[in-house]
Amino acid sequence: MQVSNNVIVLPINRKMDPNQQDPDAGEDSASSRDVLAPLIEAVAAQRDRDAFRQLFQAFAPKVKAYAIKQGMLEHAEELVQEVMVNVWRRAAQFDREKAAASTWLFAIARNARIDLLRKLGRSSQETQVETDYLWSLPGSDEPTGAFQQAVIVRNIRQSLGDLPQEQRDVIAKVYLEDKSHQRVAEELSLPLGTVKSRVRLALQKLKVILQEREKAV
Amino acid sequence: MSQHHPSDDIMMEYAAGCASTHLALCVAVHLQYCPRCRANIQRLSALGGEMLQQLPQEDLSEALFERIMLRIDLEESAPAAPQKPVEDLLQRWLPDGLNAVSWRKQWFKVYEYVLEVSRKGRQRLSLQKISAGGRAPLHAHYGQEVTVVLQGGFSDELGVYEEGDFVIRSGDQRHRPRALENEDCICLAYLDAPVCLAGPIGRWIERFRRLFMPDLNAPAS
Repeated sequence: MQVSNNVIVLPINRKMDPNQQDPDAGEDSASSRDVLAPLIEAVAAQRDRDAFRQLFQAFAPKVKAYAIKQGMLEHAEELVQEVMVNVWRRAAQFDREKAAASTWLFAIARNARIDLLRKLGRSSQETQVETDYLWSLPGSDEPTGAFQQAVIVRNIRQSLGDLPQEQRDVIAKVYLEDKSHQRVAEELSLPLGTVKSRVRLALQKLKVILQEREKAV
Repeated sequence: MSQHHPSDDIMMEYAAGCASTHLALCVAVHLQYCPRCRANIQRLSALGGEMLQQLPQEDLSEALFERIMLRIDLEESAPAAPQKPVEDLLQRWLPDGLNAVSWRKQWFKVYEYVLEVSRKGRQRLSLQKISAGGRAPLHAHYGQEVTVVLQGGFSDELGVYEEGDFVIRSGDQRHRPRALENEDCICLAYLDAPVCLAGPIGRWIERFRRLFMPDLNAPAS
């Protein structure tokens, strides 16, 4: 009984644990990323301040870089503060079965950035609806499993390195510099259609957009 | 499941957080109806996560962590009421649901309920209703019109749209939406510039409007 139990349980356990699945764990940034999920979980479960400090050391320097890229130099550490306080507050909502830690942390940083810009009165169009309602954190759907989440992230990580620079640049401007495709086109003096097709090609390579489109018959 | 979805570039701008708040609201309402787009947003967010992780590390000030812990300690000593989850993004305006809206008549069988208007009246977030079988007047737009079908359905020259569908019409596309025969059609609509009536009567109305409201005619900035 015990033996057969072990035989069945072990591979499933390993499958569910993204830490042991990562083939490129040798890459330094990748391995540091894999500790993020247990750290968030420790903050959620025990309000673990040591884990929170480690999370801060791994993530906060990148949030500051994000703020600077976004053109928020003078508010960069204010954003770091908002992001980390939100990580503490909302750690219990994190579920590695529903989203990778890096995905969840990105959503927290994105929402905190939007909120801070709204607070500073820099948003062009305002609405009464709160940021967290407009951009909900990932994971409202059925859990897909930590393994699948890890696979999605790993595929993206691996194919990002293979993207032509021009496609990568456009994605970076949209995600990291808060620029719409229209603004990217203006900045690079390219037709909007060219920018959009670069993005489309990149998304296909990254397998980010699910291809099956249900068409009306 | 809905059949008309936001384009890939809108989806990406939404996931990246660089869509305007009103466009984001329209996408978020569509997401409530569409599991496929929810899965895509999740992947697009994973891409954002990866872009963020690949950024270099910036040095932080010495005391930043202590400042953060101080704030957290302060909050823990006076815990705020837990945020309640939203069932419906439009709840704020429609506490009693779509049936309790006090509609304002715009045209035969066409009604509007304004949710938000920008200061200059240029951008407008509203609910629009066409009674079953009714038709809106032929019109184009000075800017872009984003529509998400909340109830019923409508058709125009370019397609048939049902609950949850996300539709964008740009300025040069003239259309005449018509509600399906059996049910009132209610949509969330976001206009980034006013509509422009077309057709013989519409052109006369437009001529008067240009005289009295010249501000509305300049192209959207």
